[in-house]
Parts: sequence; C-alpha cells; structure tokens
Amino acid sequence: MWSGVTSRHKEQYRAAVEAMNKNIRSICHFDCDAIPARPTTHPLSEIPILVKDNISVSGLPLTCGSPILANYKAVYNATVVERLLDAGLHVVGKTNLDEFGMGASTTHSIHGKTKNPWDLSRSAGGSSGGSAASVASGMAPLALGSDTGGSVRQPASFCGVYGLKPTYGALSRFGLVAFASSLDCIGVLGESLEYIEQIFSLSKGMDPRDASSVDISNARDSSSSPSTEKKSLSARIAVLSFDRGILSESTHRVYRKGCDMLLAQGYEIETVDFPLIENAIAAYYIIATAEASSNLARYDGIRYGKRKGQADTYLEYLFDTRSQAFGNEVVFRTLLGTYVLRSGFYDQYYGKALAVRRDLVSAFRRLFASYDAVFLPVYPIEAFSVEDSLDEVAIKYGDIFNVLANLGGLPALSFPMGEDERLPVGMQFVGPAHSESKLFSLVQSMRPEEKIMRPSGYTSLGMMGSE
Amino acid sequence: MSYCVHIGLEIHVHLNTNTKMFCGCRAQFGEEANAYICPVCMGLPGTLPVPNKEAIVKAIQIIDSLQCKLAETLVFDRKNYFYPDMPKNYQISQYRQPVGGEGKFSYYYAGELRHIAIRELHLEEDAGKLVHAESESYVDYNRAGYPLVEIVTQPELRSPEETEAMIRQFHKTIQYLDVSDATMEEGSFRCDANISLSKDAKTLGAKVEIKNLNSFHFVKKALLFEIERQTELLNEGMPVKLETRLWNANKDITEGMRSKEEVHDYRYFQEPDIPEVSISQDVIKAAKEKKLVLPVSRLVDLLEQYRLSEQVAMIFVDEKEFGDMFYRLCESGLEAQAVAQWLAGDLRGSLSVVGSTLGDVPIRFEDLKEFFELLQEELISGRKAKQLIHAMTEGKGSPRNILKAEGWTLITDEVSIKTMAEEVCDTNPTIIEQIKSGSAKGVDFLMGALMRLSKGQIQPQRGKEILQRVVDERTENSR
Repeated sequence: MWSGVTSRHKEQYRAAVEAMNKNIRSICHFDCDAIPARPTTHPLSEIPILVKDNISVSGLPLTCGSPILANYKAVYNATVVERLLDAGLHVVGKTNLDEFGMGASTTHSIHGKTKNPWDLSRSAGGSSGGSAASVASGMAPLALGSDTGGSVRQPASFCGVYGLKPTYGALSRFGLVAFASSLDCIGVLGESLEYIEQIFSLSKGMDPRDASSVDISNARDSSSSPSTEKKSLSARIAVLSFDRGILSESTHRVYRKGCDMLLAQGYEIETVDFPLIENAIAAYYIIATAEASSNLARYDGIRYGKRKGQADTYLEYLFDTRSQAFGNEVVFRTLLGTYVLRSGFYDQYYGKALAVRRDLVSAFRRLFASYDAVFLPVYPIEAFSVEDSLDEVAIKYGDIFNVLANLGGLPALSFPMGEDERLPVGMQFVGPAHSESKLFSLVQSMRPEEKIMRPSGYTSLGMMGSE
Repeated sequence: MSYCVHIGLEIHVHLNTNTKMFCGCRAQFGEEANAYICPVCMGLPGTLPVPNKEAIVKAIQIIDSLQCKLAETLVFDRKNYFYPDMPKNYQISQYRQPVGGEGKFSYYYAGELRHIAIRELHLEEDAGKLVHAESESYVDYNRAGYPLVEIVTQPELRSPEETEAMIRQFHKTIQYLDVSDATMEEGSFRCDANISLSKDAKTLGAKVEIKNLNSFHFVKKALLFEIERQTELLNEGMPVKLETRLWNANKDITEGMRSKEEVHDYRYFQEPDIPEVSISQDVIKAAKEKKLVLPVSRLVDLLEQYRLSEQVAMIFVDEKEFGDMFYRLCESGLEAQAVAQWLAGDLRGSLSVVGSTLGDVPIRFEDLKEFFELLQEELISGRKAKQLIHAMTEGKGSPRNILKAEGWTLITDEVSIKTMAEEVCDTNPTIIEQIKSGSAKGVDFLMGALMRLSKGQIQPQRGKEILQRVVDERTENSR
C-alpha cells in the first residue's frame, strides 16, 4: 500500500504530511529527499519510516529535543538505521520526543508539544510521542522509537498503534543517544504487526559496535511457531495481582475485557502475586536517573553542541553552558541521579535499587518457568491533557507496569485494545528474553484484524500508493 | 628526630596496542592534533565503547609478571568528573573489581633481592591533552581513549633511593614485556608517589601524594624534599596536611594544589555499556603465548647460575639485546665467562664508540658464534680479536671473511712456523749460546723475535712449542 508514496506521489505526500503536522507537531524534521531510498527488492523497499530524534541518521539533525543539541547534525548512522536503509526503507524524517527521552508526554522539547490525533487537546504520550502520533495519523506506517521505561509502549497505547520494546540487546544501541544505558532499547511503532515484525527481524542481532548487543542466533527463542501460521496457540498467561484502583475506569474495563478474551482464546490464565511491582518503579527511577546523570555529562559544548561564549575559568564556562543546556525535566533527573550516586549514599540508593533489580530478574525467571507471558495494562490511564497534564510524580508513577520489562531486560509488545472507547487504550504482553515471536503470535490472536483503527478525520497516506 | 618513611607508587603505563581502548582509532599521538579521533573516542551522542582485546591481553601479561590474581570477570566502572580533555566527562576505569588483584614486584637493591606488594592493577582509558595558548586553550584528543594500565603498590618502600631503583627496574620490566613504549618524555610511562612519615614502622602517617614526576630522578628528588619538609613540620609539632602536591622541577620543590582542584566525588558506578563478561580462555591463552622474561629473574640467574659480576650482569639486564645475545651464545655451547667478557667489554665498547647498540648494527648471532669459534680454535690472537670485533661493528662482514681480507689469519701449519723459528735461531747465534750456558730468558727473547717476524700471526702457545723444539735441537746438537 505504501509503495511509491514517497516517489511517484512525493509532492502530494509532502503536502499532506506538512498539513497534518501543523496541528499534531509530531515530526520535527521532514525531508523526503535528504536520504534517497536505496534500491532493493525487499518487500519494505521505499516504505517511508520516521526516526525518533534521539537516534542517529547521518546528515539529519539529532536534537534529542534539547537546547544543547538544537543545531547538532549526526555524522553517522545508528546500526539499526543502517540495516533498515540497506533493506531499502526510506527515512523521511525525525520525530519529536521528550528531551533525551525523559518524559511520558512529548511536551518537554524544543520542538514544542506533540498532540494526540485522537484529541488534539491531549498528549500523544511519550517520550516517543512524535513517532506514535505520526503513525496513528497516517503520516507513515512505521517509526522507530526508544523505550527506557515505557517510552514506546505508552505513546503507542495513547495513540492506538502497535509498539514493540525488544529484549535488551536484541537491537543494537549504537546510535541511540543514551538516557539510561542499562535500560535503553530502540523500539518500533507501527500501524500493523506484520510491519513491526519485519522491521524487528531486519534490524536485530549482534553489532560489533555495541558490546551489550546479543547474538540472536545463539539466543534461545522460547517460541517455536512463527506468527504467520494462524493455527491456534496454547499458552499459559500470568496476570499480576496489583491494586486495580490505580487504573482509570476505562483502562480497567479494557483490561478486564482483555482477560476475558484470553480465556476465550483458550489460554490458561492465572493471577500471580508479584509484590516487587511497587519497589520496581522506585528502583527504576534511581537507576535511570543515576545513569542519565553520567550519560548527559558529555554535553559541555566543547566538542559539539551550543556553548555559552567566553568565560575566565573552565568551571565558569561549564556552569554557564550547562545551565542553559537542558530543560527542567532533564535538569531534575540529572540532579536526582547525581544525588543518588554521591559518595557515602551509594548503598542507600543505587545499591538498593540494583538489589531490587536483581530480585526482579530472578522473580521473572521463576515466573517464566511456568508461564509463557505476562498480560498487563500499558499505562493506568488514557491520554491526559497536553496543557494541564498530571503532576510529574503521577506521570512517573504511571510507568509502574512498563518499567518491569526494562528492568528485566525483557521483550514487551503493546497493542490497541479498547477501540470502542473514546480514546485508545493499549495492553501489553511481556515475555522471557528473546520471545518476541511468541509475543507477536499472542497479540495476533487477540487482534485478528491487521490494521489499527484511525482517529476520525485521518486516513493513512499509504492509500495514495494504492491508487 | 628521624622518622620511618613509607613510600608507595601509582604507576601508569600506556599499552602499545594498535588501536585505542574502546574504539578502532590508531593508538598514536604526538603528531598532528586530533588526527586520530572518531565519534566513539570523541563521545559523540549515541556512541558506545567496545573493549579492545589486545589491551586485555597485554594487561594480563603485566598481571602475570607481577603474580597478581587475575579477576574472573572483566568489569568496568565510570569515574565521573568534568574536565575539558575528557570527551564524555567520565573516564571508563575499574574501581570495584580491578582486573589484577594482589601481587608482588621483585627488584634488586643494596646487593639483595627485595619485594614490594602490589595492591591492584586496573585498566582504563586516558584523557586528551590541553594546549594552552596566550588567552585561549585548545584540546588535542589523540590521546583520549588510549589504553592505560595503572598499578598501585603498597607503601612499602623505605627511602627515595630505593624508590628510584625500584621504579627504574619496574620500567625495565615493562620494556621487557614489550607491552608499552614506556617512554617518560612522551608520558607513556608515568608515576605518582605517595609518602608518609611516622614514628614507628608499623603505623602510617598522613599521606601526601606527589604528582608531575616525569623522570626517575625527579621521583627521588621530590621524595627527598618531602621527607625534609615533613620532618621539619613534625619536629615543630605541626600536622602534615593530607593532600596532593605537585613537583615543580624549576624550583626543585613540591607545591600544594589549590584545594578546589582536588575535592572530587567521582560517583563511581558500574559501566552499563560494557556487560560484565568472564575473561575468555582464548584471551588468557593469547597472553600466555609469549614467554615472559623478567629482568629480575635474569639478574638473579646471571649472578647465581652464571656467576657473572654484578656490573656485567647489570649490563645484560639493562641492555636486553646484549643479555639476549649472551644467552643465545651460551646455549649454543660457548663458554659463558669468555662470552660475557667479550660482549660486555669490547663489543659493547666498540659499539658505543660508533654510538650504536646491538639492535642497530648488522651483527648477527651467527657472526658472533663464528668469532668465538675462531677464538676457541685459537685461529686468532687476542690483539687481532679486538680489531676483528671492531671491524665487525663497522659492518665489514663475517669474521672469517674479515680475517681473510685483512690477512689476520693465524699461521698454523708446523712447517711454516718451524721455518720462521729456524730463521730466528739463525739470526741470533749469541742467544743460542746464552741458552746453552743456561740462560732462561733467551727463549723469551727468541719468542719475541718470532712474533715480530710473523707479525703476530702465530698463535703464541703453538709458536712457543715449535720454537722450543728448534732451540732444543740446536742446543743438543752442539753438545
């Protein structure tokens, strides 16, 4: 459907995207000509794809939504991007995000606030909100995002698209601007499961430039049957016991509907006690901010990035430059991360958080000895208002379900479920490491219809290609 | 009052790997600024470090030579602080689990073998270099990401003199291992010293660290200065401040740093970009592939097994190529004392005259072996041997060829020697008469005449035998 859209119908496509983007503001850099698609015979050849603006595409801006990188251009391709370009995909632009991936609303960015196409007064979620809103509104069938604590799945849920957060190390992080290295994953958002699967299989695998990447050929894939086989699955699914009171009414309704559907599919489903869920969110914010405080230290304006003119001493220069380098959310998290790592307090915070993480990893190992996957909501509530959004603590607490997969290094796949509601609601499966194909099968069994539902007034620009 | 002195060292060694510690850039500096940099060692957004296997192999070779305990897994930590020469504003180092644990270093001092305990050895990356101009500063990142090994000793050295001897021998050890260029001028071998004074040997005093020691000599001078400075303070009942001081080579003193410069909270935590991996068997195998020769074991061997003098033994340790040649020649069956004497004496002397050393000139092992065989077969006189060595250092060819070309071959056939002996006797009838009447010195005189006649080309022992026979014949005939 999308083939030829960016070539034969380029001008029409460009105009349509630009018109939509005026309201949604999901794309922060759009250019169909900058990186011409490489000619290939791959099924995804010439299919347009958008890339979150914290992933390096040579020759394109790499702002991370941050003042310090406002004028920065990438000089090399991320490994994942390089693999997709090799397959012939057409990178047409960069998408908006919360600065350095820190946030869940895509409102903390030098490119302004991204709106949710289902309701322009609401947030697209974040931090990959630009990617999610672009796919939901039909600007592109696919977008790369990044997921450190839910940043692919939560906006996918808010915007009603599919979102994959792969196993840690399955996709190379080379070229993904680090937020929290031990949690960061490049993820994929898409209008169809099939597209996401194809992107995943094209880009996964060992990368000599990323020591934490995993050799997939050696990794045990717990699932045996590819999802394209539409035979009925048998699976044991765990649902975790947690306080249902934190879910909004409609999220709760959709969650219950999901559980019913699992039973209807003939899956064994059991409720499992998982007391670590409350500690996990605290551990996540300690680990993520600690790593971030170190990862963001490099932005001093000396080698690249915006610098504050002259100063008499290095420290003066550093204070001047870094004081204007970041938005408030990034400053907050950098300070928090610096605080938890400071000498004498390591055991009290960071050490404790690591212990929780280790416990969580073993708890998941035990759980996956008996179950194929965990079924979870993505976020406790639907898209919140873009203006007077929730307070920042509530927004962070909302990551409670998503951070489990990141802390465990596990794959998670979110999908739209509550399409009868006014706003989309997503659910997710989390599986053991390298169980992506099992997750694809499970989601497919829950959503036999291939494509997502569009918000009213939006049609896929891919339709141009089928004319 | 005098105090017990406790000195420890932190030794930094640049490894001579092909590429940097965490990227593919050539590990080379000193040339055009910023010629060897890439997105990774410049810390561009999105880049990741990948450890260099060659560096790990070389670190393990140092670890083995120090008998340090090798860690089971390789773990890196981040040391966080801001400095303009650090591209990421953190240094990838090892903090909680250094790759090398406790070990010891043996050295020779005051006529005996001594040992100092090694606390740890860790791998890390170096930073770039600041270049200050009049009103601006520049950064050269060629050195950024260079693989660096830091070795920390226990404070067990007792004097500046011993410290200098120890660090020189440590430096020699690194050169033997061939894991570093180990030049102090270029900073590929650096050390910081720490020193404390106390009333008794069992307790340590307030530790003062001294940096900027860029020659062995400065290490000793700075420590001597510190002992004097701290002794004075202690004698006056003043406390010694726990601090880091810089050696000022222009003034020959140590100076305290501004306190602001030394207060750091490095906020160490494990490097999340490099997963903890066990040190693989093939890396360990690669490290052990090369047979390690250590200067101290060579020294002990030369002194105890070969019974060489300390002076000669030291030459064979300090000038490794001479030592290597010594061993090769001895292993080929030549007599050790003679080999040692010629190598450390005339060969080294001749080479130093022309300002070169064994590695630089085309004197092959085979040439030297031939030389010693000529000596052993008594085909050349001692005097000519000296000239021969000299001719060899000038690259005039193999010893036999030189002998032939110069006409230095000894006359060995009996007929020729006898003919000359008879000529000597014929021309000196009065001496023959004196011998007849019992003079003992007569034969010596004739021997001198024989050597002159042969231009020194008769092997003296053999010449004397034949001459004696000729003389005996003549004196007996006349009886």
